[in-house]
Amino acid sequence: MARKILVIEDELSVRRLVEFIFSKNGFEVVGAGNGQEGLDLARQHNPDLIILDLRLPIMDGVAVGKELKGDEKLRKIPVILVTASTDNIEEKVRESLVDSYFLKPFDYQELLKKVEELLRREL
Amino acid sequence: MLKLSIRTKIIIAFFILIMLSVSFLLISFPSLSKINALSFAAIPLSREINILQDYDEGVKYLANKIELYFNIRSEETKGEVLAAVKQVNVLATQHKQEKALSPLAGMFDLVLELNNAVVELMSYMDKSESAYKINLQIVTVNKLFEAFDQMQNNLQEARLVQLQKNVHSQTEITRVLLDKFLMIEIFIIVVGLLSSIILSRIITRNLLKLRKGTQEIAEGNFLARIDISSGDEIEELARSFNMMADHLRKTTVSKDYMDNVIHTMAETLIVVNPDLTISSVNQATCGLLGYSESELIGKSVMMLFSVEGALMENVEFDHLIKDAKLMNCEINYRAKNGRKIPIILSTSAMKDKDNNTIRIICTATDIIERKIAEEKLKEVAELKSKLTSMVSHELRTPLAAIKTGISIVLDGLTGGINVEQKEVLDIVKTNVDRLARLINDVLDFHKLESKKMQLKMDENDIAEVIREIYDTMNPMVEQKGLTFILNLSAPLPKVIFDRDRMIQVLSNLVNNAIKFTQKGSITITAEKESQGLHVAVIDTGIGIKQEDIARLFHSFEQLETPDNAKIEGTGLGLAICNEIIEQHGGEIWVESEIGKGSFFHFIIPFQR
Repeated sequence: MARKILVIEDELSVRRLVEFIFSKNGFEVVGAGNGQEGLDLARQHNPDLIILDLRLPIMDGVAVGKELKGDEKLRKIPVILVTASTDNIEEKVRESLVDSYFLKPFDYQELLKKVEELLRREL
Repeated sequence: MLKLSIRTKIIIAFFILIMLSVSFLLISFPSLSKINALSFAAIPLSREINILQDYDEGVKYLANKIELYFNIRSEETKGEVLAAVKQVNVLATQHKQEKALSPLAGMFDLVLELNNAVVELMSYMDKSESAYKINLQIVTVNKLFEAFDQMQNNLQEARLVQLQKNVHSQTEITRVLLDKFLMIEIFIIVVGLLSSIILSRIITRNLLKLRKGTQEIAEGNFLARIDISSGDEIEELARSFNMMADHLRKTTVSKDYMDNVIHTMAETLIVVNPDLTISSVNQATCGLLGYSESELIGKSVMMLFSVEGALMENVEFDHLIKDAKLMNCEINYRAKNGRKIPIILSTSAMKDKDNNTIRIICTATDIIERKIAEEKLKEVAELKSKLTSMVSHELRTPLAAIKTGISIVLDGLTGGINVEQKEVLDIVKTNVDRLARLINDVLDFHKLESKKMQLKMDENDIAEVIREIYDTMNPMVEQKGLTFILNLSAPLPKVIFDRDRMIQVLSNLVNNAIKFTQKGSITITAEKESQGLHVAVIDTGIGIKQEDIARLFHSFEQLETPDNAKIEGTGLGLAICNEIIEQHGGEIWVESEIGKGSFFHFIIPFQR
């Protein structure tokens, strides 16, 4: 069974590319355009890993991260925060309880490496 | 007007009065001497009258005795007649010899003749002569008596009339004299009164002028002049005052001038009494606070200050004013309409001889313009901060898409690409990376400069950090044909610093060294010194001109290579290094020699 990745990203072009990378690397990819949709899809699909943008409409990345990590069923899913804003990033990462973070623009190969690493840890 | 001194004027006035008195005496002198003469003249007349009366009595007494003798012929009565005769005789003889009584000489002769006739009659009667002879003698005696009587009466009458005339004259002269005296006295009084009125008016009029002038001078109008030309001491006094005013005007700043200065000065000036009531204010104060002068004088100065929110909220501000030692203190005025006006306040004390504070001078400058400028500056800084983070975020997002997209194509995820396509996409990727670094540098520098970057201060091993830098960057160094040398004196103590930022500093310095060095080596040294760890990045590159060293650590300063070749970079690398080291409490500096290379030193202090 293909590993499932949820990409929560409001910027369609970025989301499209990230989805492309993961599907090319054998993942099943689900995309969400805002925080609330992301949470709903996470509950619905129970993905293996979540790529989460920080700035999102309706619910921002910090809130989504907290919600995910506070959910008994979802808390074990690794979450990688991706952001273009460097303001107080360390603090936000701590607050959202995510497992790792990447600053845009990122090297997609680094991101893939990190994803593999986190998934291995899960196994 | 007579130009005489007051003393002379008074002396003249007295002299006139004395002269009038003397002339009065001179005028009355003849009358007085006439009265005197009349009095003297009356004395002999009175005496003569007395004598005449004495004789009259004496002769009458004799006549009685004779009559008694004729009635009672006795030896006794005879003796009495002879005694009376003798008495009158002695008196008359004596009086006759006094020249003064010469007007009465005829009467004395008559009395003597009468005596002789009586004596003869008495002898006729003794000798008992014939009755005829006796009767004849009696007739003679009687005639003589009658003659005396008449003479005596005439003489007395004449003297009484004369005496009456004398008294009358005296009365008349005295009356005239009294009239004259009254007139002259009135004249003296009138003249005296008039002269004293004129004299006092002359003196007091000038004294009033003098007082008015001196008051003006006392009030500070040193241009005032006292114009008195009375030629006396007052004129001299006025001249002295004019000289004094002249001198004061030359040596002292006049009141008007000071008033002008105080009222035209832009600063507010409040003079406060020791009990903190307002003594006076200048126009700037009224203009700024919206009060009129009369609304402020006598009120407590404390009502003009708004202490809430000021630095000294918890201090008793009235004590600070009383102490009069405030210097450029930032506080707010409270205007009449309640508006707060930021000011810089200074106070000073005006003291008397005994060092008691008599007034407190409060001067303040309205700094509202400065405050507004400061606010604006703050706004601008905030705007810059917002703009920087917004721009960087907005740039990063599309950059992320570009970079990811290119990488995907380059890595063949979208299918194979030929060599030319790869070459072009490599160039694009290099520039996208460069753009990303540039944005990161700008953001880092902005955060460091605005102190928004929080350093993660932990105990770290610098040797380990340097080795990591070596491992990461050695490929780049070798690629350029250079040698990378580490020279770490062991053992180096652990110190507290932000590991990521220190890596940023070292990689910036090594990157620079690689850029500006064509051959030779790059060396990193680290050693323990008294105040901290001394780290240096040494290259054998082109070196830096002395005049460029000063601006080396400034932001956006980029040096050119000798052949004017453009070096890739933002010009922020060294500025970021400088900020990071400074925020560690350390120091960064450079030594360089053109053509030989550069030494970049920095110190990480042991304690912060």
